Amino acid sequence: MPSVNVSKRQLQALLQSDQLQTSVSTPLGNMMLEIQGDLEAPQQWHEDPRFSMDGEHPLVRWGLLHIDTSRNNATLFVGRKQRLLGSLVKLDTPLGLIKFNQQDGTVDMQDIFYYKVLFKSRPLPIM
Amino acid sequence: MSLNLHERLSTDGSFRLLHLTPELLEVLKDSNSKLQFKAAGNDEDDGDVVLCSRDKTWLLRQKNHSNTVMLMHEFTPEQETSLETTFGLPNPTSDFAGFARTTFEYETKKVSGIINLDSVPVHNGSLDFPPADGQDLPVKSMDDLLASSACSEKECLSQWNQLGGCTVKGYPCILSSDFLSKALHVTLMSAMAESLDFSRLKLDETFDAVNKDMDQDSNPYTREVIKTTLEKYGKRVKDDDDCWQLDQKKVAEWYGIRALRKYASQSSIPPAEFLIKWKSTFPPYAPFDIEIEMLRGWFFRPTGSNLQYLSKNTLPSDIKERFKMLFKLQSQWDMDDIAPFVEELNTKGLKIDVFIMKYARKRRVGKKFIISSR
Repeated sequence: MPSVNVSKRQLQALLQSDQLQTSVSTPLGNMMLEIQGDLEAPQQWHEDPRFSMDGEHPLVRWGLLHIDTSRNNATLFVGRKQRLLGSLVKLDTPLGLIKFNQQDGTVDMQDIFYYKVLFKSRPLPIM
Repeated sequence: MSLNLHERLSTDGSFRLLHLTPELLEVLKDSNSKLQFKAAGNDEDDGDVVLCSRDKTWLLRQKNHSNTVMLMHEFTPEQETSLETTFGLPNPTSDFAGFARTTFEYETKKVSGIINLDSVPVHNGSLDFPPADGQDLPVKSMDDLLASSACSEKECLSQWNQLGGCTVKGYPCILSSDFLSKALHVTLMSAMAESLDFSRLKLDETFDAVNKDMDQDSNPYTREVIKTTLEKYGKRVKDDDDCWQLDQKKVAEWYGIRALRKYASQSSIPPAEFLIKWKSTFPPYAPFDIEIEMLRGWFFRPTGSNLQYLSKNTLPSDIKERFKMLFKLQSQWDMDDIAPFVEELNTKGLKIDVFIMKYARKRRVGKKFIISSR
């Protein structure tokens, strides 16, 4: 029977400190964003100010997120034409972020999400 | 607070989200704990996957969804790019890049782990165990058994002890019912002969007592077999790891079930006669109390009072069929007599009388509840 240990080395400092996620991103700088629908972002590089690099990874900028921390409201502008209204919600069951490394066969628990930014309404046009 | 959102052109498919129940969070917070994914079954099977700590097991279920779930991390862009418009919002203070999208989450449900005995041989006390020096045995050590069982280490060992698991010359095996009975009988007789205290049976003393007059070349009652006997029929004494308190009720039940199987399999037997036969199966002067109620779940009363052996394993696993079979064997049951035959099917955890009333009729006669078919 195949089995593999879950490494929590990366999480240990966080777990020992009791420093939990209290806002949009975790203390380790991760964020979970959910849209009840499809999001289509460009898959090909173009010479365009929206495209940039994060180290060796090419990126495309696709949106602008505004969080009203006092009311936990979120507004997401997608491209130049669509706007979504959502909220920052606390998860009933926290979610562990696990990475399965195919090359060396290890499994790392890298972070724990207690909140996510959720958009569940239809997009509104930007006038 | 405004944030710039980006996404990598090629996202990483190796990330998963796992539901962390409060118990799982506790395990994560304990720096000495360990968590392990185990896949039940063989490599070719797509069996269940479980997550195990040292003493608990969780079953994983994949919950698919059709939403866009993007996992993002904060980063600092290499070059600042000005936005055409911020839609009247303040300028973004940081940038996040989506590195993975997920279309499912793993739900975790705490379950009772089950030891995998598929490849564990049964040892009946023969002296040539393991055959061919164990070369053909697929499970060669307790580590192999642990690795092949979809359960935590503690659950595995606990079930192993209750099932009569033993290691002979290092190879794990299950002691056969007959061999276990002989080992128990010999242990009881030897312990009584040496006036050992049943509430504090030390492994060394018990082993020496059993082996006192034995020919060592043909002695199947090894130290491991005696240890297995004490584990199965006793409880470890809290302040001494090598000392067991014999569970006298459990021993009496074991003898009772074997007596039922021996004397009441083919035809029924009056309770008084059975009690005499049951008592006669113990070693002479064994100080065990017996009563018929101890064997509930192992007999039925075909003629109202006489007892006949009935094993749960021979009954249908479908609830309705099982009740039908039970009422065919005996038209009216005492509530306490029928409950052990059906309680394993009460998977929703209802009160047992409520559960029985779903499939049968209950009426009160004096102080007793009588169960009959609908």
